[in-house]
Amino acid sequence: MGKKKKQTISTTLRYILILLFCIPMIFPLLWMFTTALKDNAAVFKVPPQIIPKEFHWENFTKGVAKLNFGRQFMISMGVSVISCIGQVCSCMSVGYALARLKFKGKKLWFYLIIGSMMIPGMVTVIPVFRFWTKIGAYGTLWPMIIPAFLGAPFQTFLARQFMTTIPKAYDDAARIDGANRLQILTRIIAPMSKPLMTVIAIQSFQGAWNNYMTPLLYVISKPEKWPLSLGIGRMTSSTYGTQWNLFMAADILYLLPVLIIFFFCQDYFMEGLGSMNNTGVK
Amino acid sequence: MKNKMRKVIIIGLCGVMGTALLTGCGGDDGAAKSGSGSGKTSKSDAGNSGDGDQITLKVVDWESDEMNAAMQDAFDNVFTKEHPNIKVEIVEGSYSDYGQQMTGMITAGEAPDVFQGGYDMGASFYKKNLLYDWSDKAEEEPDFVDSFYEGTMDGWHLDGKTYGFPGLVNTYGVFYNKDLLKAAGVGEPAGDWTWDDFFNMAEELKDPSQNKFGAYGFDSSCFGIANVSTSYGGEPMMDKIVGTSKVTVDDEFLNQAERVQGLIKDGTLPERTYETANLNSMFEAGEMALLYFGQWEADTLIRNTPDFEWGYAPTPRGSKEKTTIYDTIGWMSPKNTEHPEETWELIKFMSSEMYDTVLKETPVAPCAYADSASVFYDVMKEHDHPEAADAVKQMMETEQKNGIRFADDWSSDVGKVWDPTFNDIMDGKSREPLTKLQDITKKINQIIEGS
Repeated sequence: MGKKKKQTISTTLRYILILLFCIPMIFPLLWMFTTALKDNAAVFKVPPQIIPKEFHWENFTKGVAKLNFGRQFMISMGVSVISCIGQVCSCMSVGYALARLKFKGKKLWFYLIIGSMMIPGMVTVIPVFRFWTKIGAYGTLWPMIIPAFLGAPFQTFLARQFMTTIPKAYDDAARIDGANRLQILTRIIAPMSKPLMTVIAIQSFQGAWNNYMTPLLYVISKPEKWPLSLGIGRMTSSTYGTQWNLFMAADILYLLPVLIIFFFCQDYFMEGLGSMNNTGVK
Repeated sequence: MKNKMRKVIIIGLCGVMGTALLTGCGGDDGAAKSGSGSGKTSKSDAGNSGDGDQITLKVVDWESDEMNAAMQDAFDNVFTKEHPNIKVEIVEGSYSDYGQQMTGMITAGEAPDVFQGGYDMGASFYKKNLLYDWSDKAEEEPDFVDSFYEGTMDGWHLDGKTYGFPGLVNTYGVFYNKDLLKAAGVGEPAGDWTWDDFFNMAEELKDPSQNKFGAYGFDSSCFGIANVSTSYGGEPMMDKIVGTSKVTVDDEFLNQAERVQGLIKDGTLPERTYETANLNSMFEAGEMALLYFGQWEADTLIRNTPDFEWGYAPTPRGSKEKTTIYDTIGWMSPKNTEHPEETWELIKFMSSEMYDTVLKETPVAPCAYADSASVFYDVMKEHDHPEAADAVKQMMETEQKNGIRFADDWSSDVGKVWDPTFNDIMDGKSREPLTKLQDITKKINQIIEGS
């Protein structure tokens, strides 16, 4: 068989495989979109309508009108952006310290940080809830915001790994010029760590944006402080049954910000995740 | 080119998001409001507050925005007019995470003055010493307590204490699609139909070639089967609805379980593991002829599908007596309620008079308080469903009422012992005989004794 023919067959097979993997990934989104355009009665029709017979574009406005969309969106955006800033700052700082500074117990601290990832979140829910309640933070957004400034194990690990790939010569050169540690971090390391910061920012934004459990625990009794996750979650629970078409419509609008951010930053994101390959855990 | 395409997509998505935001801000009142009262939350902390001589009591429930608006209207225009020193505000609740919400609020010391709950939640909270004891008030006003439908107060007493009062009662009958019944040549159910009539009808309506069962939603759990069994003279499965001390699975229970097992096997009824989350939506879409479901679906059908030809029949009866499964949703207060006298007046109002106006707007269920129950029946008749009114009234007046769940804290332990074996036996996945259920019942009684 000629080389060109072999290549054609190989390319065709590759695309078929990609298509096969794409279908289960894209189909749920497609179903979500088509459900958003249907009448509620058509959602459960058998056989199911992959393409709606009638397009109800007004479902998007109706779905949004069922929520306090504007307020909840602003709360979600505010908490997510602040969480993003908090995690980037805290993870970069701790990652830099673990990568560059020499102090006693550095390796132990590093292993403790990684080890903390093994603790299931559910185990700490009750003691953490008691803590926030005792200090009067129940009913506020602080339990969603403050932990972002206290670092995150995985992102700290990523930061540490990424910074070990940056030659120490840059630090030394900056030190010779009279820079202190903070200036080295902010003016030398950080600009070189854009992919890393992008990864941390996207992951923290997505985590805060999609967070349902923490608002459920702390602000469920204060509807004026509900983020969009709680507001949209409430659409599926009603004594009148769920209007799935409106829920899907509102949900599509809910996932737009994360989609936009990912579109903006996907190059940096992939580069940042790629830094995991380089040196392994030292 | 790739970058240009990406920019176009990003701009497009931002545009959609911006439009949604503008629409959302414009509709920022969000929840539907009706009446002069607001159904929205209070801005102050949950728990009452004082404003000079007027006190504000907070209520939490899981009802819809429409119902909360009607309730707020009743508070503002009826209750506060009768009690000018008391203002009532509703705090929105989350239906699916309600238990989580109430546990968090009580733990954080921000419990409202009155909150809604099922009788199982009431029993659980009572045992944890979280609820106010209304026993003295109940003794002082026996006429009020005696005015509830027979059996509906059973879920709100324990150890001689009264810790809550029922509000609405959920009953379980059979919705039917008139068009599908007509097409199949099957007559509509009568008000005094029997379990034989129901199962025979379901067998006629099943269509295995189309993967359609004859009837959906039938409660084939131990509670559903116990309900059928008691209508044929069997013993009730639970000796008490709350504070159950003994569970009984007698021969009549096994007879009815065998019958249902056969109906599952021949495709008349769905398996125990059949997904039930969207049955009502499927019924609304005209995908099934018979649906065993709670009466609240009637309000959804009236609102969302006014052209749909449906009917509602009561729980079928057995050869010995009429029985029905029921569930009460009631009102209770936290132990440390600050204004018990005012809260008592509110609880009385919420268990009775409030529904005179609320159920006209949102007829989701009949009221447990007999004098106020007629509102639900009247609304059903106004919407051309006298059969639904009669069905629900019949079920409310049924003397033998059976619980729909275990209401005690050991219920999850019992579920782990009972459910896997029961489900496999009923679905025909296990070779164990039905008598195995009696062996499991002994274990359940041991768990109850040890709790």
